[in-house]
Amino acid sequence: MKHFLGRFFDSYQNVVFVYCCTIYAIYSLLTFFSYLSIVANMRRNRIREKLVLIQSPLTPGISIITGAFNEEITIISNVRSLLNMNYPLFEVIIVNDGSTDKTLDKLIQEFTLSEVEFAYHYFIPSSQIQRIFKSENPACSNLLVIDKINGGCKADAINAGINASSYPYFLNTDVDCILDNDTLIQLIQPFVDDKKRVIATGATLRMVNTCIVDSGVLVEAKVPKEILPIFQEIEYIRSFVLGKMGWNLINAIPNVSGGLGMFDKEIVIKTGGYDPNSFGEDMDMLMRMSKYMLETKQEYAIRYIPQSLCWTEGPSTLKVLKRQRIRWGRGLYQIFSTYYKLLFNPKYKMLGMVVLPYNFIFEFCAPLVELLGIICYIYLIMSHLINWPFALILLLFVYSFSILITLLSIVWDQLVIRRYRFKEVLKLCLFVFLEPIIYHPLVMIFALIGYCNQFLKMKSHWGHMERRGFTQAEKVEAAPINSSIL
Amino acid sequence: MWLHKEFSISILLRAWSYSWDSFPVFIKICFIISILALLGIIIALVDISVQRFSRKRLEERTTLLSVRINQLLTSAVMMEETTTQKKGSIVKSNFDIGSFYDPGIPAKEVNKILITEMIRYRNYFSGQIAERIRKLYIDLSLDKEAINQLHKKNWEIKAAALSELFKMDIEVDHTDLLQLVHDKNRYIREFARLSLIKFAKNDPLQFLHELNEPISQWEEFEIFLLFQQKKDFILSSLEGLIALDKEPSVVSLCLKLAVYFKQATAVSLILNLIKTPNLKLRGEAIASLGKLEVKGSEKELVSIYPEQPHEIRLEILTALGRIQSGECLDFLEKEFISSSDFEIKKHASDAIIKLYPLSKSTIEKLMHDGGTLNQKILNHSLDPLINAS
Repeated sequence: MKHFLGRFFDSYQNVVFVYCCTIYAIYSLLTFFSYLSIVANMRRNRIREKLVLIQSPLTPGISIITGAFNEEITIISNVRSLLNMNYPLFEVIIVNDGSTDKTLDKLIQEFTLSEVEFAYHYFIPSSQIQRIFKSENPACSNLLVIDKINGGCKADAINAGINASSYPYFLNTDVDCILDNDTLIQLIQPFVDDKKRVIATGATLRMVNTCIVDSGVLVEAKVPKEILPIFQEIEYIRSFVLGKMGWNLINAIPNVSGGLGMFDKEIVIKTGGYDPNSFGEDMDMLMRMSKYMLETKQEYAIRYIPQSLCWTEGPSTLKVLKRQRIRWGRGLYQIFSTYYKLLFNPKYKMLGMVVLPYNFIFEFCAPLVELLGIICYIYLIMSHLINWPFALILLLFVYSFSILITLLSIVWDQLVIRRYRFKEVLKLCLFVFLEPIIYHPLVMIFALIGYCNQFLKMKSHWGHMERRGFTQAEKVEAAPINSSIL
Repeated sequence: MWLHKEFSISILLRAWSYSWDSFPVFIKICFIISILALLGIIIALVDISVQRFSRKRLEERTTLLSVRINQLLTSAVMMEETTTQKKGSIVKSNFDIGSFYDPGIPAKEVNKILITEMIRYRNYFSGQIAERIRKLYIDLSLDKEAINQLHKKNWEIKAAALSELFKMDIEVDHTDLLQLVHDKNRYIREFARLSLIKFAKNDPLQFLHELNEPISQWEEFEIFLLFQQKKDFILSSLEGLIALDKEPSVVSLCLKLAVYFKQATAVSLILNLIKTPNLKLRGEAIASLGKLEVKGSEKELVSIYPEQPHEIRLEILTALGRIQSGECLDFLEKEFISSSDFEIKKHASDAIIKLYPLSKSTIEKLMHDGGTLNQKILNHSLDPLINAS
């Protein structure tokens, strides 16, 4: 047995080495690709005058759809901020997903909502609609509020909103997200300026936890004070600015975030809308859209832009982070159990040969490879088979390279956005060194729990993200956000 | 103690050099990559710091400069009003750009800020102020610089120069433009086409006859805006452009122009198009007939209705509502009552409501006799709150 284990772990070391080198080679390539993508985006922005979109009578309309469940603290200011978007033709659809607090009452009162006899049709499935409201205030004539029975997930609420929407594109966002005023202008651009038919676009998300917000508008961007959101901020920068922008260059984006994404409504409806049973409904939606386009032999593109347009509250407690990451883990497991036939299938071109294989080998399998690696490490230490100098060199290799990649993503990010003060950027850089030691193992464990839960088909619900609210501009001195965590 | 440390380090280094040769290749590679990565980390950190500081300094200076340039532009343009009346002088006399050149900011940057501000002014003001800004731009010889840049190799510089000249209403030499229309960069081709339209002496749509590449939606927006802003413009015949053999995006643009300029002569061309196999174009052609309120086209639309796919049927129903002759009210009523498709019902209902007051009795009858769903759909179409946005 000992002999067998020794040989197994010996071979496994080689596997991990090759795995590690491959993933770092891909990361290096992505770093280069993302730089090209960012530069191309900046060049395009210098040439394209956004005023054209504002002035043109041909600019397509957009429906902003967002679900709200027990959001009474922030709902009014956030809806106001959505209504103030800088875009000539849009509507805001708020889906009250069976809130048990005063979310709906507050909306009715604030926006003088009146119930209307709306001919609602279930083009895509969603829970039962109870009432639909429109504002009597002409200034808010583009606000539509849907009151529905709680569907237990965001997908159900967004589907309800899509069914009632009037425009060809929709923006899927969370009601607690703080959006940049130019979000619609920025996200619609690839749809009207790309040679291929663009079916979805997304932009960078960031943490709003410590930012100063006034009436739903971001006044000052700040790096989170709490430890967990800082790590998430770093993770988001790496994932969006480096990962998504890199994949953007070769049209191989696997996922448009549920926090902020603009979609072609026609394709979403044709593919049946969001799946309420999926834990990774955003990735599942994009998979089905891509699959549909490929099967109907239509050229398509999914685009990302490097600008930070959405500021979202990240989990600041271990409990909430654990719940979020377990759900993501389950979602990823579901994706591969649903779309396994597409994996390495040349019929599905980039999706089958690059997007899914990469995500399977280096996203889905990574926590498993890491876990086995840790077990192997422990075994070798216990059985005194470890070669310490080699082990330390390998650790240095893994650690230094991952730090370098993350730091480069911050450098790339600084090319696009310079909203943080220098001190805050340095704080981010400092936490980059701690991320692989503190945060990464947590995320890996939560993902593995997610896989197990999904494998064992354990029951789960979405759970409500506990909001702390934002630091309000006028209360900066009086009420600083609680910074103790972990 | 110190000596002891030195001694230990030297021993360690010696031991290391002996062991290095015995290391397997992959460990050697890993070690070298780690050293390179560590160097990369240092460079990245230095880069962040240096970039931040240099950009911050430049931003501070340029912000100050923008404010000063703004003040100068305002006073120069405003003062010109009085001085021109008296002496017929030029704005340049009030504009001492030399005072803005700062050793900390390259002259190119100063010009860039100045041009950006000028374009911004022209976006917000029209008439005399816009004209004065243009005059100042020429007086400062900024146009010559931009024209020179049209011959540069870098596409970005060329595109920026073309865009600048376009926005400042400076006509580019026609031969140059014809060359740029065939440039390999799409942005240059697009700006060249826009300039051709803007400064065309006779037919601004001439270039569309030879155009074989698709027009992006963005370019379509820009061309359309340009036509909207042209004063006293009469659209020339669209014959040969609204045609089955033309590039679909060109046809689509021409359909929109025909609607905007209410070009009655285009109706026969549009009618030819409703049988095109290209569904998107067919839909747009039908929508154009509706928007142009082409009376007499209803029968044709109703006759082709049964063999059309769903999305085209919806376009036909909408068009029948827009035409407002009321000739097809019975057809709309029949579709509204008999169709089991929600969208067909909804579009038929919207069309019937649009035909009010001609459809008054029909609406009353449908409200009275129709089922719950039909009543709900009609109420939806009638509700001013729902249709307010």
